[in-house]
Amino acid sequence: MTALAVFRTGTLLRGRSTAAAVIVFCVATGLVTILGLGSFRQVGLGSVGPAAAALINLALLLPTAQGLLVGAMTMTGDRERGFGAMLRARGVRPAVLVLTAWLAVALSSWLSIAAGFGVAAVIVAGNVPVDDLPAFSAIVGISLVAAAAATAVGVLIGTLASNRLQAMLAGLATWFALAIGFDLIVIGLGAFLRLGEGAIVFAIFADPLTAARVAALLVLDAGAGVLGPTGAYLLGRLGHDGALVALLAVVVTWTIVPLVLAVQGILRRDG
Amino acid sequence: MTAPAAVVAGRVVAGRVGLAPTRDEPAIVVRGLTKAYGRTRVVDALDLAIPGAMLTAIVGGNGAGKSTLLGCLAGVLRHGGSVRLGGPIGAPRPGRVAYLPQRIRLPAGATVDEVMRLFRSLAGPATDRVVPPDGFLVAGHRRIGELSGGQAQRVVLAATLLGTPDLLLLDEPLANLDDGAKGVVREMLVAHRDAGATILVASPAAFELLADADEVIRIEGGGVAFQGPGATYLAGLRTTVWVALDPADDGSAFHELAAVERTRIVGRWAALDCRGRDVSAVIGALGDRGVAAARIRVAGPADAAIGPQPADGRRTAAHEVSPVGSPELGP
Repeated sequence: MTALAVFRTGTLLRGRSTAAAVIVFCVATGLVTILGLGSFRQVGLGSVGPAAAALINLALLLPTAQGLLVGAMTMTGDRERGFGAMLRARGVRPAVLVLTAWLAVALSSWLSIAAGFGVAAVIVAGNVPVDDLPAFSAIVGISLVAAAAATAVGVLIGTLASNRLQAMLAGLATWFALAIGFDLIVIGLGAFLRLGEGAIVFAIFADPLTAARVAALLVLDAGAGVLGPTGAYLLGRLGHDGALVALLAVVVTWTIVPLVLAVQGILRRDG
Repeated sequence: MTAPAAVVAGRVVAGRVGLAPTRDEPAIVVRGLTKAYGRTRVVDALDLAIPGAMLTAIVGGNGAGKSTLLGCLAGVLRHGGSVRLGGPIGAPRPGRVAYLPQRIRLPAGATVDEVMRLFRSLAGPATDRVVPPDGFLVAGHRRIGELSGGQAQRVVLAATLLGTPDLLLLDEPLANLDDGAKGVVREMLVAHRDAGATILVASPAAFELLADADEVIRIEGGGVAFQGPGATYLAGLRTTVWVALDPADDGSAFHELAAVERTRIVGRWAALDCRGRDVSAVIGALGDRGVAAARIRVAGPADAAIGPQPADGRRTAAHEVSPVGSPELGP
C-alpha cells in the first residue's frame, strides 16, 4: 500500500492539475486577504468579518472542487487505462486502490489549502493579534477535512462513472449541488413549504460542505444570524461545542461512507 | 496429484499451496465461462483446461473473446461459470499473477524508475527471475508521457515480468515493439516458462509466438475452436507457395496440383495457397513437373485459414492479376 500511495502521490503532485489548483487558490486567497486587510485589522481572524467569511468560502469551494474532480478522474482513469486491472491482478486489493487514490488526491488538495492559507498568513501577519492563531488554524483544519470529504465523494463518483468525461461531468454537477445548489434548494423550499425540524437536520447531514462552513463559522464564534437556519438550530440544540462536534462528525462520515461505497463499487464491476 | 483449489462461480479463487502444476496436469480449469457486455455475449459457456508450465498462445480474430478470457482469468472481469487455478498459481502469494491488459496506459506523469519501483514492490520479496538486458528500457528519469508507444510498451512489459509470477497473462505483449524488442520479450517469456511459470499470450495472429508456444488455443465466437500443439496448429494454417513463371508459362497447369486450394497469378509469379502440412507435398509435385527449386518461395502462414476446408479440398481462382504485377510482390 505504501509503494502505491507514494507512486500515486508523486505523479499527482508533479502533475499540471495540482500546480494549476495551487496557483489559482494562492492567487484567490492572496487577493481576498489583501482586499480584506482593513476588515482583518478591525475584527481580526477570530471573529466573523467579510474578509474571514470570504476566506472560509474560498477554502470550502476551490480545494473541494479540486479534490472532487481529480478524485473522480483518477479512479475512472485507472479503469480506462487498464492500470487498475494490472494492479488488481498483482494482488492489490480494491480497498488499497481506493485509499491510495483518495490519499494522493486529498494530499494534492491539502497542498493547495496549505499554500493558499500560507499566502494569507504572510499577508495578515502583523495586522491581526496572535490570539487569533488558534481560530485561524481551526479554519485551516476544517478546510482540510472538507477537502478530504469532497475527495472521497470524487473517488466514489470515479468508481461509478463509465469514462472520464462522465466522471468529470458528474463531479462538476455534484460539486455544484454541494457547494451552491443544495443551499438554494433548502432556502427555496424552506420558504415555500415551511419545512420543519426534520428538514433542517436533513439539510445538515446531506451536505458536507455546508456542515464544514457552519463549523468554520462556529469556530469564529458567529452568532445565530450569521450561521443560518441549520447552524442556528444546531447551536440552539447542542450548544457551541456540541454543534461543532456534530458538524465535524458529519464531514468525517461523508469521508468514510463514500470510500466504503467506492470499494464496493470496484468489487461489483469490471476492470 | 495437483493441489485442490476452491471453486466459486464467477470468481477466481485461490487454491491450496502445494505441488507445482506439470505439463500433464492442468494449471487452469475453466468450466462454463460466460461473459457478456450488455446484450453481447463475448464468451459463451467456454470449457478449457490449460496445462501448467507451458507457454500457450491464445489466438483468434478481433472480438473473438481473447482479451475477455484473459481478463476473467486475471480476476478483473466479473463472469459466469468457474475458473480454478491449481498449484502455486492458486496460492495467495503476492505477485503470483502478472497481467498485462491490451489497452494499458501507465500514468503519463510517472517516470520509468517510479513504475519499475512500484511493480517491484508488488512482485513480492523474491529476486526477479528475468531481468531485461541493458538498453531495453529508456533512461529511468524519463516520464511515461514523453515516450513513444514502443518505448512505453517496453516499460509496461518489463514491469509486468518482474518478480517470479506463476501465471503470466499477457494481452498482445508484442504490439508496438520493434523486431529486436520482440526477440528480447520472447526470450524473457521462455525463461519464465522454463522456470515453471504458466504463460498465456493473446494475439490476433500466432506467427510471432509459434516458435516458442507449446500450445495454441484458438478462440472463435466465444468458444474454443482449436487447442493443441503449436506444430499442429501451424500445419493447419494457410501457406502460400510462390513459383516464378517462365515467360511462356501462364501458370494454368498448377491448378491441378494436389493439396493446392487456390491458385493466383500475380505478375510473373503463381501463388499456390495450401495448408502448412501440405507445403512439402506441393513442392515435391512442382519438382516432379520440372520446376527448379530456385523458382520456388514459401510465404506464410496466415492465421485466418484455420477455418473449415472447402468441400472438394481445393479452390481455384485462376489468373487473379494483381494491379501491381511486380515479381517482387510475391516472395
